[in-house]
Amino acid sequence: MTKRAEKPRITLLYCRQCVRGDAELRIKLQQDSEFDLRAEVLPCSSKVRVSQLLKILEPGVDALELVGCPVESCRLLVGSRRAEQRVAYARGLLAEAGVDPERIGMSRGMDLSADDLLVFVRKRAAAMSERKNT
Amino acid sequence: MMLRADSRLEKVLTAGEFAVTVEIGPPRGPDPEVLHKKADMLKGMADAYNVTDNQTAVVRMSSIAGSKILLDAGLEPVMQMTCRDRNRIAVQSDLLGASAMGIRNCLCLSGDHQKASAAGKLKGHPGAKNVYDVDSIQLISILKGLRDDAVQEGGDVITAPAPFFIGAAWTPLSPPEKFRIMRLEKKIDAGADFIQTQVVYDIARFAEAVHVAHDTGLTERAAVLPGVIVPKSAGMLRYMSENVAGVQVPDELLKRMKDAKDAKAEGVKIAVELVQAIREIPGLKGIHLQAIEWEEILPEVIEKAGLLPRPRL
Amino acid sequence: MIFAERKPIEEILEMIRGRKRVLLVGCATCVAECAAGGEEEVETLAPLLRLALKEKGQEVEIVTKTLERQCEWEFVEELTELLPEVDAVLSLGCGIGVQALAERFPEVPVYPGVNTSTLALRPEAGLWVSRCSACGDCVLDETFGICPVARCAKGLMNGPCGGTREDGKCELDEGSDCAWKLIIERAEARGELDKLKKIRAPKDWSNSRHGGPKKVVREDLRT
Repeated sequence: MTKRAEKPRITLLYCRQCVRGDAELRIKLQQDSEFDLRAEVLPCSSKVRVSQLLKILEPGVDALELVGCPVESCRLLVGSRRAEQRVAYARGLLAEAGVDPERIGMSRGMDLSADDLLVFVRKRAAAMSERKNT
Repeated sequence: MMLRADSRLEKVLTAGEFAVTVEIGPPRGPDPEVLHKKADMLKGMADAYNVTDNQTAVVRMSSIAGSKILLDAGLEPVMQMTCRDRNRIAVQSDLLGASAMGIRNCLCLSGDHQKASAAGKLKGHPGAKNVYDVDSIQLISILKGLRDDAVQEGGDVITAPAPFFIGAAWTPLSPPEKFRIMRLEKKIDAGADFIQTQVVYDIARFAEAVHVAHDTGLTERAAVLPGVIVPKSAGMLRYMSENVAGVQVPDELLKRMKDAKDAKAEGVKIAVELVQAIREIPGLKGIHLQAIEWEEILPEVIEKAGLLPRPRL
Repeated sequence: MIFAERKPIEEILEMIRGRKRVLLVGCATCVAECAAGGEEEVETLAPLLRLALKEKGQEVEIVTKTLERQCEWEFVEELTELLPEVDAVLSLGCGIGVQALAERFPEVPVYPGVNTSTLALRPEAGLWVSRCSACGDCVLDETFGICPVARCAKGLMNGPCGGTREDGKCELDEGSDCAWKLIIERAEARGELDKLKKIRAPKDWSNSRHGGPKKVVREDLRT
């Protein structure tokens, strides 16, 4: 029996400081048809909490990608580094629980467009399915 | 002078002779033959023979049993006792038993923490509950109480005094160095009769520490016997230098071991030189020789160092 | 604070195996300060356990609640309304909290989700260090405010053993200072090094767990 290919359900959390033209960006993301994509903007990537990451994943989201500013240019100084630590911790928890840690990840960039964000999302989806297939 | 325990070691020191003690490690099993073989090999080489107490927290035949086996083989043991595994009740009980069996020397140590037992290939018992009910200085006091006052730590009397020649350890080169002399003094105040030190390779620095002890009269109140471990390889010497607290090895010795064509022969040479240098330092009363898993080399070192024959008493 | 760490997920999963509806209870006091059992940890563990079980093709319903303290009946009472239909309680409170819940709700199994191990200080974010082992016979007045029972692996009372490394760290744990080195430094700084000459007698351990389980009554405070 063949399973009808479902679009991966991915949640994208991105930091407002690292994108350009937020309004158009959101519209473009909504138009994406490759993924069942949900995008949420954060005032700073450091605002994200580990419990929040897991709560997003648990109800049936396949993967979560967090996007923040590069380490040197986080406007709130250590914000994106803190975010990275939390993402790493969450991945560790997943691994310990026997769940694929690749389901959560983080990327960085500046002045990102919707296409840039989608590249990150695609990478996340690929990393996750790679693990599934190994 | 009244002998405290009537042990051979005590008599040799009291007679003003330069004493020799060596270390024998008991086997990791119940076979007394291992000890008999070592006893045969080392008989006549030393005035007393230290039997270690689960060194590095690795389970070995007990020090009290090992000491009795040596005693029966005609060697005088120094029973080593640590504080790691026994509370004050077991300590005193074992001391009474040891005394009953004729054991007259006891070296009081804190003892390596059981974390040390899971090193290298060994699994050890890092999960064991440790005791450390008393520390080494309190242990010395306990022995003194049993010997001089025939009283237990808790105050009850014992039926007869338990005579022990009481030993303690000294690591003069571990920081804080200034306190190490105070610690030595505390041990002697508590009742230590003889001291065996952590292994010495840096004669100059060791001599400085002994000098202070000598000046304050400590070397006359207790007999200090520096420890010497015969180097077997450059690797072993480097390992000790880098990993064992309180051990300092001069670069010159490391180089000699590294460059030597025959490392073992060079190790013997170095050990002999160390013994000779130690004899030049005022205040020292003997030597405590060890050769890790290599006891068979000790007769050669002792002989070359001019320490034979041992005095007849 | 009382210090605890979350048990490995595998162990927790094994405890709740076969249960259908689990009440996960956190505590907002000590374990929250150790980032082991507070609200954030409860809200992290609940989805994590669901994810883990989903992976195994199992499902469990997890209800969450974080109490101010699990060691006080007035707060424990708040769980009463949540108890019906729950077939197990998983507590992230310290050993005291787990037992308080078990005592109040004997009809359900109460499982420990954390390992309580010491009494600690948090000198900076993300770092906890053991400071007290409840020996019941405090000698901090004689050791210049540094506890040799909790901070020396051998609990030495009369100075350091030979295991102090060159850099002043303990041979057992390169990250930790030799406690006696710290005590000596303090004594020296105060010009009171001589006080450490005193031979301290063996400790009386009978006021700690070594004397047996403690039960203390204060008549002046009983109603």
